[in-house]
Amino acid sequence: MSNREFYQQTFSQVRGSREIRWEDYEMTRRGKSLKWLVTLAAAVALLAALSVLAVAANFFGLRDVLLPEKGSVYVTDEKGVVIPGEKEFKDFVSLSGWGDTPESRALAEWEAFQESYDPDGSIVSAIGNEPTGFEDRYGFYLVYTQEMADKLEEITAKYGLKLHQWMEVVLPETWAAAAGDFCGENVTPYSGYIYENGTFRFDGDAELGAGERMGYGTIEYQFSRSVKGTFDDVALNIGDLSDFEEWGYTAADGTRVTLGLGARNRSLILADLGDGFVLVNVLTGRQGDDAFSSGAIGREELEELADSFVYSALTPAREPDRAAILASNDAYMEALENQPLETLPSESQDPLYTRTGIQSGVAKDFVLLLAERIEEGRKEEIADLLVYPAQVEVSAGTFTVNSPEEFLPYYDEVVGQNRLGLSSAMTWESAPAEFQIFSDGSGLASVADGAVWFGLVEDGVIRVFTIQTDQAAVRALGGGEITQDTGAEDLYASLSIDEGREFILDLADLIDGGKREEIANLLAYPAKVTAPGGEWIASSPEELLEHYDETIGGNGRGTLAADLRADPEPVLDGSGGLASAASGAVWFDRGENGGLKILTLQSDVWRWSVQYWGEKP
Amino acid sequence: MDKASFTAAARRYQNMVYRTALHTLGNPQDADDAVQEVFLRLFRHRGAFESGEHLRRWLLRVTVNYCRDLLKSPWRKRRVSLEALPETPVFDRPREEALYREVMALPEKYRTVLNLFYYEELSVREIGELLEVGDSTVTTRLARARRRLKERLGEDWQDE
Repeated sequence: MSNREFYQQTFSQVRGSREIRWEDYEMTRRGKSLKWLVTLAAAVALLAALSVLAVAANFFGLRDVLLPEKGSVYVTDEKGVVIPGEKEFKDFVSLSGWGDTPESRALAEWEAFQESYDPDGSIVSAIGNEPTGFEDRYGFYLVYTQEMADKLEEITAKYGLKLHQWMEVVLPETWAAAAGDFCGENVTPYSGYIYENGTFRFDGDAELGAGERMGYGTIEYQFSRSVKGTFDDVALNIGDLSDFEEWGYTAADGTRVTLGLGARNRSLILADLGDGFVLVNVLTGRQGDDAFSSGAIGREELEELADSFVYSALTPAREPDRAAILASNDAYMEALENQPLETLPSESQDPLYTRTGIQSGVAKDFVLLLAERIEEGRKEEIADLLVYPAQVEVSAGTFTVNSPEEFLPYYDEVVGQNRLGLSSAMTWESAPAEFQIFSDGSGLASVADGAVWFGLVEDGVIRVFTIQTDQAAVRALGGGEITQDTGAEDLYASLSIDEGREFILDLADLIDGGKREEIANLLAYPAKVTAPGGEWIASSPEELLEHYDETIGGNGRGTLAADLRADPEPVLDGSGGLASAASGAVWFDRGENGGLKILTLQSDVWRWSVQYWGEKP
Repeated sequence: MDKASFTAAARRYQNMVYRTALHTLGNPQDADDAVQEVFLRLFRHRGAFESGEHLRRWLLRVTVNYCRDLLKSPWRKRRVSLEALPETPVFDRPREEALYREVMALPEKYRTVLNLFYYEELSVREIGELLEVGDSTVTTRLARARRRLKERLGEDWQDE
């Protein structure tokens, strides 16, 4: 047998574990706009968030918001990943009101229709990515054929309901302008959205201090207010209705509410306000939920949370002032962008803040706004957000642009032709979770799998450093001026290839020679040490040496040294703030004394890493 | 690309894309992710393919480029859960498992070249064009990889 036959015989037995299906990709085409995606994301988050709930009593309670038919949901594994082809049936409740209201009966009929319509996705596949012509009237509903449009019209006419017409994103400080003062002092609403009739939804948290578990702390929930008279297609999966302890309760503002304490990790607050219906999906129950880092709650905690909202402020429902919302959003963003760095609180529990100087919530708001501007083609505003000078890579070649005006001619090729893909990728994850923001240790944050990089610049505002797609890119030259990384420009300007290569080759020699103390002194501290045997934080060279033989000095040291020698040329990352070599096995920066300092040393093969774990030096 | 063509391409080339991604990225989790990403690009691809071979070369190029971009990304390694890495696949024979382990223990540049040469049967020149390196670089990497495999595998790996 030849080496080639041996090789082919061996690796023909190696196969991936994922199934590639046209239908899965086709699903990504259904989202036609950010607003649609936001709606869908919120709905899916709600649908997926509840795994198990339940009820007992017979008054106006959870059973009265139950939809008549169970709904099918995808089965997920223990990590929340959808198992292709597997579905199960769960109880669903309406967010629009009790089950006998026109809104909920219409929802039940629409759900039943959707359950049986286009089950294999063949119709939507045939439509592909082209506009359907139904976007203007049915943009907030899943309608892509005339038959679906006719059915929706039939149902809404039957129950005398209107359709949603517009929706706006609402940023955290804008809720009072959008819907009134309905949040108690202990309540923090995050970003969400509101429709033209006042229906709105957001995720939020609240601080609880009393109850069975004194000083509970922060509790997380999803808040929905549905205004009656308009059709809303969001239903909530509550798992099995039989797991709830349910009781009536008069909240602090005198509103009568129904509380459902879940046996495991979800609970509900319901309030019928006459012209609207509130449903609060609380992300914990008697067991708590590790996925949301939520501790268990009891009846008193749920009652205290119910007391945290002023339901009476939500009725009578009024049409929101769209101009006021937009003005408040803009003011919030302006204040955010101009906020001096030093006034931002240090949050050791927020890795993004530690690495970029941007709080996670602020970053998400920025991404949401950026995605919306991209999706709506607001090119001048996008151009103003970029860092200059920048390098533009387009089909005609590579060019340097020094201002927004110079970038605009390239806008369509870099951003415009990918506006839907980019905005979708920035805000939508296939798994039912919030979009994720990563940071790379250079001071920049990234979304959409690295398609967009952003960070704080010298004057304390957030700017975009990179937008890159398969077709084109714009990248800040010279790393811009990242306020978090005072050494970035120095490294970019000062590190020669020879110096970097020499440093890496010396490091290889030290590893081969077992010079453990010298290596330990080259690393930056505190450092997170990860090895097959565990994880530790090393605050000094001495503490690192305790784990040296499990990591740098272990069996893989020869491989690591060989890798470093095979690929010693330093590569600066996108921001110019860090250098790496050997395909990322080592990352280094210039230390305070002018010498080079190792921030990361790692081995994929031997499954260990030593990573700098403090604020950026 | 229509559904039938896409499905046929997935059936025929999914394992090739996975193998190539596995060789470049070095771990099955990332390789699985890469397969999905590469076929997403195929799904979005608007150009026509002249032949099956054209499609195969396009997929190889996209896979290698995507995976190498991923390797350059400084945050990639932080996303990998070290504890979550799957076990070595089960092979029919011990020597096949040994080859797998030794190949995967090599640095990325050697793994990628080995796969393209031995499994995908590309020539040195074709590999050089794909990886955008010179023929001599490919030859050098192949020679070093062969020498290392010979050292580790003994008689199971023949002299060339």
